[in-house]
Parts: sequence; structure tokens; C-alpha cells
Amino acid sequence: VTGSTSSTGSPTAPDPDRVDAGPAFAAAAARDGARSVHLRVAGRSMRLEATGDLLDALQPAFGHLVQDTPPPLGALSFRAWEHDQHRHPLWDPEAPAAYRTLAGGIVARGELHATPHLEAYRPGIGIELWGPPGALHHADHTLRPAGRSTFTWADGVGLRLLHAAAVEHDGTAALLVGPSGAGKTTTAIACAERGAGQLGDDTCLVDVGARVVHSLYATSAANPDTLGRSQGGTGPVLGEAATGKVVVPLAARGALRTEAPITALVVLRSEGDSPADGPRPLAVLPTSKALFASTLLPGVAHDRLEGWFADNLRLARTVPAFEVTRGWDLDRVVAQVREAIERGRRQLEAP
Amino acid sequence: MLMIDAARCAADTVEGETLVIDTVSGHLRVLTGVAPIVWDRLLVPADVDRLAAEVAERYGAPAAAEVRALVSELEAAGLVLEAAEGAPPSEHVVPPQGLEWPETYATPGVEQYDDIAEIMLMDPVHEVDVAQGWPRKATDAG
Repeated sequence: VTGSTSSTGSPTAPDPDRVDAGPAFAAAAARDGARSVHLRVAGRSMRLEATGDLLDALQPAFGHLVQDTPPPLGALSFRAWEHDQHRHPLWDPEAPAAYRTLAGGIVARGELHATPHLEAYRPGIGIELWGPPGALHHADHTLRPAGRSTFTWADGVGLRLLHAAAVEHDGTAALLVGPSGAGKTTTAIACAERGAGQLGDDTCLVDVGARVVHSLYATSAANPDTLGRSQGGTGPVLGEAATGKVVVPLAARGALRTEAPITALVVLRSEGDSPADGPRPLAVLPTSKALFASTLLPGVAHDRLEGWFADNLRLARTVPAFEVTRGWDLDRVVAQVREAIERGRRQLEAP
Repeated sequence: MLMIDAARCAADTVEGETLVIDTVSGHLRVLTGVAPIVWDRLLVPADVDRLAAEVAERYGAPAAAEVRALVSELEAAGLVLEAAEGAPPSEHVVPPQGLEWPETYATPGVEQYDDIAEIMLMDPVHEVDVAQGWPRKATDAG
């Protein structure tokens, strides 16, 4: 453990930006074994290293981002370690459950099924996920492994993490937005089963300035009845999340994409059936309101609200938006999403 | 003199309505009617009596009363604060857009959305106390 002298004025308190559990991780890796892979996340290299068989548990979430080459020097470190969390130097039950460090990192404690875990992102050290043996195999960790820490890292490199689904058609993508229950997952599943590429159906990394969406997690949480209505039935199931939803791999339902230019925002409405005359264009104001009502993720951007606010407005102003009413004629819904992507692409290409 | 607390909130005007995010509480407000013009005027220190007089002259006394009520509502929400005339501008000052009063008066309105505030309350993220370094709950500070 290094950095036992705080840079913030206290001579004895450890500095959460400098405390390094690397040596402890190395000891655990020597004892339990560890494997690592090179991930490309939104064009950035990440070295994912996990003890024991944890890498297998994380594969459904990150498998689509794995590269054949070893990670370069300087790649962001992501260490997932199954070990008693209280042995981590950042473990402190007296500290707030989640706190922002002075250097822009985050440390968060969590508990799933009465089992605590710890996650952290510190600039210069990387992302860490710690939990006792077995805890990190829980479906919630497969759904969003070290979610808050990864999102904080993304925020620091100018990527916005949005609560939205994204599907690709002929090389460009639509962000599907709407409040819970509006049908993001249902629509994303329907699109994937009819040939669309998938970038995520719960969270997406968005480079707002470049109008590009990047895939992060290739896992999804869906209501069991939603899966039952899909063409492929339930398919493989990774487990049940704390919310009661079922965690499934996106790869089971169709092709995955890692990035695509965004040419449409599709605001989903859950009432009624889709009109036959195609997706309705939406003005900037209702689009902005729809984005504000649905794209914030708990624990992610709410301490950076100004950036989230500005990026939502920028998206609403620069990307053609359409409203699609999500009825149960899913063929029609999928056709309207495709039409929105194509019309948006033509609008953006027009001089 | 009153003015918008620009360090606390971010705002933008879209299609005649001003969207305001309170970065402290998380409340999102949408200002409608003439409220965006009032907001624009308050981006620099403004005398509310003078503002109300201007509204009364243009639209009548009831309109002026509604504008005063709007300013009071914004003040109660912590979005407007006292400002000294001629005070040096802070780094957060946002220049007014110069929005013009419309020919026809439209009652100022404030739509408030609480979704974001609820997420913040449900799942707070704390800042490290600069003086203490390692984070501690306030009750443990001593």
C-alpha cells in the first residue's frame, strides 16, 4: 500500500487517489491465478485482469470488445478481484457509500444479496472491483461490472453514458430513448431479431461531439415476459438481477456492433399502436424533454449535471429525432425505427 | 437587486421555452410564457421593481403581479439571489440573450420535473472533504 500520507492536509489519513492495492492484487493473483485480456472501449485500450475464473463470468459483458493483441503500455487497468473486500485498503464502512475523490475518481461500496463489494476508479490507477469469493459472479455484476467506476472514467474522457438502447441499420444507429416501461428493451430485441446490429439496450457510451455511439456492455436485463414475447423465447439466461429482471447476453439474439454514427434519436411512446404513416419527426423541445426524462443513470452523472444537461441539448439539436409509438405490431415498430435511421441519415447528409 | 445564481444552475432556451437544471437539487424546470424573458433579464443584476414597472406599462398591472410572483418563486427555489449593483461579474455569469418581450402577453409558467432530484436523493455521491482527506461522515469529524 502506498500513499499513506494524504495530499489534502491530514498527516495520517490515506489519500484515496493514491492508495494502491496493486501489490495485494498481485499476491492474490499468484495464489488464485489470474488472466487478462485487451479490451477496446470507445477507441481506448483497457487491460481487464481478473482472479480465478472471474474472467469467464465477465465474458458475456465484455467479450465483444476483446482484442487479439496484448494491451499496450499505458492501457487503463481494470482489476476484478474476488477476495475479502475488507482487505482492500479503500474499504471503510464508515465512509459514505459513494464518494468522489479530489482527482475526479469515485469509490463506492455496494451490497447484493447481503454480500458487500467495493468498486473504485482512480485516475492513474484504474478501475477496481472487489468482492468476497462468489459475490462477483452475481448477475448484477455481469450486467454492469463496476458500472459506476467505468462511467466515471468515461465521463473523464468526454464520453457520456446514457440510459438508452442503440441499434444499427446499414451502418448508422438510432438511440432509443424513453422512460422505464416505454419499450426500449422490447424494441431493441425486436430490431435485433430482424437483423439490426446491437450496441446496447440499457446503457450506451455516446461521444456527443462526434455523434457516435459506442457499445459498452453486451448484456441486458429484461422482464421475463418481454423475453417470452420475443421470437427466440428466453434463450440463455445469466441470472436474475436484484431488480427481479433476467440478465441475458445480447449476443444470443443477434449481431453486436462496437460503434456506429448516430443518425436518429427515437423517442418511444408506449401508448397505442404505431401509425401507418411512419415515424413522426420531433422538434428540439420535446426531444430535449424526452432525453431529460430518461437518460440519467443513478449514480452516474448526477454530480455532473451541467455536462449531462448540455450534452442532451446538443444531441437534441444536432441529431434528427422521431417519435415511434411502441405497439405490439413489432414488425411495424422495427420498420419505423429503420425508417427513422434512414431519414435521419438523409437529413444529415443533405447540404 | 436580484440575479440568477449562475453557479447553481444551467439553462438554455429552446423554441421559446427555457430549460433550467438546478445542479444542487436536480430539479428540472421549464419556463414558459414570458418567463424566459424574465430569466434572461435576471442574468445580470436587475431591480425587480423596475422590471415589474416595465411589464405593467407594456401589459398591465396583473401581468406585473404575475412577474413578481415568478421572481419570488425562483428566489424561493434558490435560483435567484441578492446581487449588489456594479458587483464584479463572477466566472459563472452567463450573458443575457437579449430576448424581447412578445407583442401578446403570455402568463409566465414554471413546469417542474422531479425525476432527476429523486435519483440524486436515492443514490447520492459525496465529495471528499478537502480538509480531512480520507472521507468521513460529518458526525465522525471530531
